[in-house]
Amino acid sequence: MRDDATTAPGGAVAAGQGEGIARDSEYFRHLVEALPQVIFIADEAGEIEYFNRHWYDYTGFPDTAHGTEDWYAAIHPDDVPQLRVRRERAVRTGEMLEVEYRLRRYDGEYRWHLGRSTPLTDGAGTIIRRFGTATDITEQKAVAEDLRYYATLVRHMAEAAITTDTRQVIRGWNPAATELYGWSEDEVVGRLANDVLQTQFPNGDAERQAILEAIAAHGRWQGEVAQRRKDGSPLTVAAMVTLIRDAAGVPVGMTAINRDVTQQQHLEENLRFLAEASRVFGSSLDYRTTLATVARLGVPKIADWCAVDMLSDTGEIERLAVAHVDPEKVAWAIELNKSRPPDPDAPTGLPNVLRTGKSEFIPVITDEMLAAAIQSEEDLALVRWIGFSSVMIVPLTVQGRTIGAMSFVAAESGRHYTPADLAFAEEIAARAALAVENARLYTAAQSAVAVRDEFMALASHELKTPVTSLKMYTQVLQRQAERRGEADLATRLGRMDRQIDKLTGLINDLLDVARIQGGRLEYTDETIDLNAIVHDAVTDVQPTAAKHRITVEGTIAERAWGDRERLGQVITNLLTNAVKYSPSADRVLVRLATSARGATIAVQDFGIGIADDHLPHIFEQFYRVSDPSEKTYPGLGIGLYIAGEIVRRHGGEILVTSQLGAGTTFTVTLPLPRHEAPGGGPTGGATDGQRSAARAGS
Amino acid sequence: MGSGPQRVLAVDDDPDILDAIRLTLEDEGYLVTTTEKGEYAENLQDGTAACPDLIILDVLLSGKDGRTICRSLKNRPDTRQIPIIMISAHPGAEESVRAVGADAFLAKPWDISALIGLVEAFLGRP
Repeated sequence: MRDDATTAPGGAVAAGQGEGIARDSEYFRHLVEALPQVIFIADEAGEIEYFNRHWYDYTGFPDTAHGTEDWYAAIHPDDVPQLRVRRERAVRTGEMLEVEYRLRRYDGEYRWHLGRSTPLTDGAGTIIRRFGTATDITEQKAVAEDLRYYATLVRHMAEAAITTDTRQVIRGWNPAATELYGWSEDEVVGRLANDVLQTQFPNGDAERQAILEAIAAHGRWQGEVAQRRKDGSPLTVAAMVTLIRDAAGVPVGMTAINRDVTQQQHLEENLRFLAEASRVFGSSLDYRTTLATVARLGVPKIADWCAVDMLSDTGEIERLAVAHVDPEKVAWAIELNKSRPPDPDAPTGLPNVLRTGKSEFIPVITDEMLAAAIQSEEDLALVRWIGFSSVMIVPLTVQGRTIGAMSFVAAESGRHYTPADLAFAEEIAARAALAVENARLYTAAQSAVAVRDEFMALASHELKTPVTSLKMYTQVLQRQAERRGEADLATRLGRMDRQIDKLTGLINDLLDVARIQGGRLEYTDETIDLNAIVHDAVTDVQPTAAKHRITVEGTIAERAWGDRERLGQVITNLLTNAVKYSPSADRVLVRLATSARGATIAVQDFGIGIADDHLPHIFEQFYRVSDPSEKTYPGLGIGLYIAGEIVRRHGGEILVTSQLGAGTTFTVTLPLPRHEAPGGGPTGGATDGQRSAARAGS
Repeated sequence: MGSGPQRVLAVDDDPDILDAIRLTLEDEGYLVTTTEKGEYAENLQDGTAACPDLIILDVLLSGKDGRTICRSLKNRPDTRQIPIIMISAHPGAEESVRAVGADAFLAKPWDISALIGLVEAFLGRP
């Protein structure tokens, strides 16, 4: 263009014009020069022949540079190609041109400009000039860019964005809202938000009003609300509502950003239900009651209807529980189940689950399904009236055998179960089945224990009858032998008598264990002299010990409370053990003392001792040290268990310390009326961790 | 007490226990009658059987509770003065036998010295 550009810049307009025009022209020229935007004039071929002052000021070009190519030099290189094409076309066609490009400012910054050029025609319509302007639109463009950005954001955001005016009429509805609610933008714009979303507030209209007031006061509100989709199904959304104000601060509407938390809420409800159900199952062994309770807990959060059916041994289906929030509906369902019991051979539904042990899961129940499944018109009408929307039937399986099923049915809530819900229902069923199994095992174990206890009680009673006559005969014969001077015979009969005493002791121990197990060990509670009890026990045991001398040191100054016989039994047991487990020693030491913790009776032997491994277990019933490297001592392993129980029942404790090869000391501590219980509270009595020590008692 | 040896009646459903009691007490000079039938003891009042000076009575007799017999004997003027020692293999039975008026309780099995001592305590040495 430069090549055929011959017109001098600046002077072209005035050339060949009259005086008046020249004056006007000068006037406009000043005006143009003063305008804060770029103005240029090009010839009919589009070659620029004039720039106003602002051009030079803006670009920082010297005013000797004024041609078209100089102009292009100031434009962002990326924008040049399309600008050339469009300019040339406009010049060719004579049309008006409007184009955006970046123009370099004197400081090197490219700023967006809107370029416009308009053709000027002579009287015959021939283009003789083009006038052009370039206006800095960087700021406007930034705003437009922002708007476009936000519009894109709203269009693409995952949350439903809904805009309303002050009367809560919907004005904006993004694709995510369509996705979430099922309504298209066209269907909802112009309608009241509440009519569309059917937002429910748990506490009714008052709550809705309170929320609106909160929005008005604080400009925003967030929380969870229940709404419905276009198809009527319920959902829970976490909503954030913001008040929109105009530049003057006057509210013009609201935006709500809603996120679907239905699954999350279901998950939370499921977990809560699972926890609650587990608690219920653990609370009682009466599984029929616990299952019914769990069914009741399931409504309405998990299901509108929840039922538990059990399969009897004869294969009959027994409805254990059915729950619905409305008791009338429950009564109706019970009646229906009676009048129309499920057909055990039905190919689908509960009978199928009970037969196959496999879950049935229908996320969406359609009317076609109902019509296909139900033959009777009457039944179909009934089922339609209830309005089943989704169902899960899961089996209760115990050791591979299906014993029942739990049914979760969604109806008026319109809920549709998901695979996650099914997994949850199966978890509930697994726990329920476990509860049933536990109850069964526990009942069996309990009756076995009861039979054992009863047997032991009976056996020990029956054993005592022959022992009674045996002992009398032995003693009478011993007396007669003594009288006749048959010393050897009398001695042997005396030994026989002591063996009978051991037998009696074992029988009594068995009876005691049975009583402790059954919680029937009886105690008397009277003031007792522990010194006397200890001395009596020593007097009883001393004759049975051939070489041990049992010595008692110290006294217990105060009287205690308790059962004389039982405590005597404890001391006798400890003394007998002390003698038994110190075959090489010749003494057993008993120390009596009163401490801040109460009365203590320590029985020390100088015998074989007890290994650390065994120490924590010696108060357990039937525990016997059975180390092949150790000598075996006879016994049932119940003496210390009984002693521990008796002391525990007295609020005391037994502590044992031992060292292999050096001996063992058992220390019984019993509370005295003025002292605290030595066990330190009802939870004491656990085996303590210190080396070579164990304890039994409270 | 009257002339002749003191008479002891022992009631238990185990014949060996009865025999051992008889052996023990006869050895001490008492006159011992034994029965496995509780009814015998209950019918003492009609004069068909000689009234003993002391009764040793088992708690659990076959078909009969010794405590019922004890209570009825203790409720009748003609027998209430007879000392009754109740015996049982259940050491815990003592309380219940005291409740029906028994004068003493002996848990099976016992030392003969304990039995002899009790009988002596009621009847004196023969």
